[in-house]
Amino acid sequence: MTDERESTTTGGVQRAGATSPTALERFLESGISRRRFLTLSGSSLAAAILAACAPSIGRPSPSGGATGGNLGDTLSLATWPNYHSDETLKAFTAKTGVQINVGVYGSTEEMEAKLRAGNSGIDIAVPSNYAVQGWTKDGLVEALDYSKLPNANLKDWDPLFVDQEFDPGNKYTIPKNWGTTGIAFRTDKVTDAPASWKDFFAMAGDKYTGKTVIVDHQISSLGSAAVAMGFSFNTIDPGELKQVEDMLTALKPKLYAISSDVQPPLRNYDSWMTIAWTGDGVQVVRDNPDTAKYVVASDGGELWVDSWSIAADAPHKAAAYAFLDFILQPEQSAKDTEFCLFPHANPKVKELVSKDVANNEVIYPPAALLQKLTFATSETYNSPLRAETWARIKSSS
Amino acid sequence: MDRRGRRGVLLLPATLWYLAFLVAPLTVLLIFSFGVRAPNGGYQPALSFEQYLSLETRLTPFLNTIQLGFVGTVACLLAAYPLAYYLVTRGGSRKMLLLALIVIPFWTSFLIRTYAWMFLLGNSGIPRVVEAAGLTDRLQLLNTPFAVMLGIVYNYLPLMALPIYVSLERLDKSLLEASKDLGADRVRTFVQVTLPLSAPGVISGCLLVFIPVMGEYLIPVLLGGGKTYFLGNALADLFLQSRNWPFGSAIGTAFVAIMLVVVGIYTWLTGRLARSRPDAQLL
Amino acid sequence: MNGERWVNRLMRAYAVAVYIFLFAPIVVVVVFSFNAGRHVAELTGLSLRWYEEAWSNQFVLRALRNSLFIAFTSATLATIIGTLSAVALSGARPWARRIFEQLTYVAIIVPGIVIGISTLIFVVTLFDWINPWLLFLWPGGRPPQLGLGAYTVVAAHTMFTSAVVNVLVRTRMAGMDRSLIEASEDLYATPSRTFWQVTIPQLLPSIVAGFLLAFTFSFDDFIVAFFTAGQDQTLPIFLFASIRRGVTPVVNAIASVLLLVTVTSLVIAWFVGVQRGRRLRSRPAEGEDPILSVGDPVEMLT
Repeated sequence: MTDERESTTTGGVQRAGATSPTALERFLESGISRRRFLTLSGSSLAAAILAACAPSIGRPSPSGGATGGNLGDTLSLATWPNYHSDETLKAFTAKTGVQINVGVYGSTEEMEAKLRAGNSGIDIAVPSNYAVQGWTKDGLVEALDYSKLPNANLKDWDPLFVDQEFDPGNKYTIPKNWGTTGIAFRTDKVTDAPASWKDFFAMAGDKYTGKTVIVDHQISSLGSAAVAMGFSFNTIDPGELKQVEDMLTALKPKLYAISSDVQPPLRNYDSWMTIAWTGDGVQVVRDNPDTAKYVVASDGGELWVDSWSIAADAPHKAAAYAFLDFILQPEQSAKDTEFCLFPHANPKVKELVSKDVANNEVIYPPAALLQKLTFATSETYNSPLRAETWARIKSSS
Repeated sequence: MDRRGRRGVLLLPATLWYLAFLVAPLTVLLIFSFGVRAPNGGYQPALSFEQYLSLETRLTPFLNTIQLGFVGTVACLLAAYPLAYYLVTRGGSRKMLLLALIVIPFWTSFLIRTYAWMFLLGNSGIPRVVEAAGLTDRLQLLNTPFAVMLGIVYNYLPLMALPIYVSLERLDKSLLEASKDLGADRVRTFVQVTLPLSAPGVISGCLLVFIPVMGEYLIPVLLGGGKTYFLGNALADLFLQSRNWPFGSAIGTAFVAIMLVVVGIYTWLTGRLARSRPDAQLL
Repeated sequence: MNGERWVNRLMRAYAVAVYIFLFAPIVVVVVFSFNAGRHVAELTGLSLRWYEEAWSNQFVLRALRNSLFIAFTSATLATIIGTLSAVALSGARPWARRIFEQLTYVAIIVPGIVIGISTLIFVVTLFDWINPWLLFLWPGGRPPQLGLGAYTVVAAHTMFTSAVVNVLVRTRMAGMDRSLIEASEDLYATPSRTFWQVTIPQLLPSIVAGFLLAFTFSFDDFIVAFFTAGQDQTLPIFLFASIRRGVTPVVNAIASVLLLVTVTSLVIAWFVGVQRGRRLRSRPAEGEDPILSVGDPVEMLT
């Protein structure tokens, strides 16, 4: 267990004639005094008081809390870290009185695990595109009632992201932000810039041994490796996957890490080259404009979009619709986009954000490059073969 | 109701709790392990051995875990014993303070402490200092087996040190004096008197460290860079990435079985040691 | 004699090295809580902004609140359950005692990740079975639907920590002075009175220790909560998710504040204890080695 069981200090006096307890028991026997009791209960009490003094943030209501008619007092969001502007959330709360409880996840899989387990309390989830088909098929999210969303004018949005295979007609989801999976690297160390996935993986095993990171994400890593070897990003062909597996297994000892936490090593030069998603690319390049670069690979790769959806068993549906309608206003979406720095599919939003954001090629890559990218499909996401391949690569010594 | 009956009622809350949140979950785990993966992930009822037959695909993580368990425990022991010995023999009036100091670091969150280690072991931390001092080139300390071991020792040091401390503290000092009187030098006294008599503490400490280390998940991820895969990681990924609940359940069940066996052997061994040395109290 | 000096020096150096090792990350955490920059790994200046933000960042505060609530509740429950069971065990029939001890043993040995996962699948299966009945049977508009939440975490934490409390209290009981209990009974005290006025006070140190251990375990637990928490994220879960996408020094600020609170209370208590200790123990007993027999420091202060 990743806990540390803080033990009290030693103590206890051996009483003559007592039966001897085992050594374990004697260790755990505590001679704690009233002093220690006051100490540590005091500190736990203090910590509790500390939290209680914090500005009231409203307790999450138990499932099924909305009173008939009005919106209720809470809304539960399942989303990504640093993906929402505090300002927009507070504005919504100010307008409607609904507190927003944000649950962050490290991956869509974790989010889905909670949603599938059922009765998770989630109202609005923000899944990545590849999960959507599975969710709609299994009834995890409900069909959106657009009559409650007057601000949703999807026909004006970027056709690359609306009415896609994963959700024809956007029956269930509305895009929030999109992004790419690319290569982030340090230009002062990686002098021959990788332009394609082929370059990337070749260099990772050769010139830049011990300095490359790949993300702990079957879709992005297996997909990019597949593209590097000339296969399709979404391949689930056993033969092709075996070749990818062999390549990555051989590469693994030469990697710096298999981790989705790509920024810290890149920032302090522990790694020089990494698979990265738009957000990471944006932040690293913004802070190191002269020594870092983010490129979309020329031989293809992943395009992704995160979408708003309403859980089928959401306890606060009215509030969920109210929030969606609120955030779909271009001004609010623009504020959100300015904060999280991921591109938005609504062209009006691009007009409203600052020039720095709109003209940033990391955030909004040129259309020519985007054409080569593909969405990860639901088959890819749910493929047991891909999942097992990835697990085998990670299990290899 | 007679006395015993009334006493027995007091046992009920705990028993019910165990039944509900230990026995029932483990039973469900066992049942799930005979199922198959549902098409979109999760559990599909079945009666199949296929999960158990696939256990060997996770052999490497299993071996890694056993190795980590033993090596980590030994490393912890080697680090903690001298410290405990020092506190007991040279701690003097500051013993309490020194003991508290061992424990205080653990009043910060584990994740935050580990993140701090990621900084210290990373390029901007200790390697940079060492390089600046001209001692060696930029080392890679993070994402190495060394980092993982360091993380283990760091987090489990108190669990090892405290039982050893208790054991040493309880040592009958007159035995040490007797040994000295009989002409043994310090080393001999230590090896032949102190060490064996502190065995109970050593054994407790080893057990207290070994059990949680076997189940480690975060340290290999954060300090090992995800390059070494342990059973905890394999298990978590099966539930979170592959969403293969039945296979995960099979691994979980196998894991519990392994723990029972290993700790059982351990207890039996120490029991034998205890029988051969009646004066020492062992687990 | 010279060799002894060397040994002493070596040991002292080693101890110092260990303490530096133990505190290095703590120092890093505290120093970076004053970081002017956004990242936990690059010190770009000093500022108090993270402390300000910690006070107003609702995501972090909510997680902290959940952690404290879960820790406090599970520790309280575990202490009550564990103490009761420890006391009950002493009077239980041998077969009951054996079964219970085995259960306790298993509870301690099963790895945390397995506890988390198995609790998750059990609870989910159970709720899937109960919820349709609730829908069907509940009078009126909106039946509650059971789901994962803080209380499922409390359940799992309590299970494990009650086992620890049980062992602690049982150990203490084994060394307890039975004669006092017998005396109390001889003097016609009811079992309840004996329990509250004789047994419990003697067991109090272990009970308190158990509570504190349970609290600490629950507060810092990641792996069990990770699987059982639902949307009520605890602080470690929040931190772990944030680490994937960028954590700011806000977490350092919070950690520093928590550390300060606990260390301060310990220091205060230490001073109080030392004053008492000084009054109670003026010099070692005759013939005892003054250094080696200072004895148990905690004992000294009791």
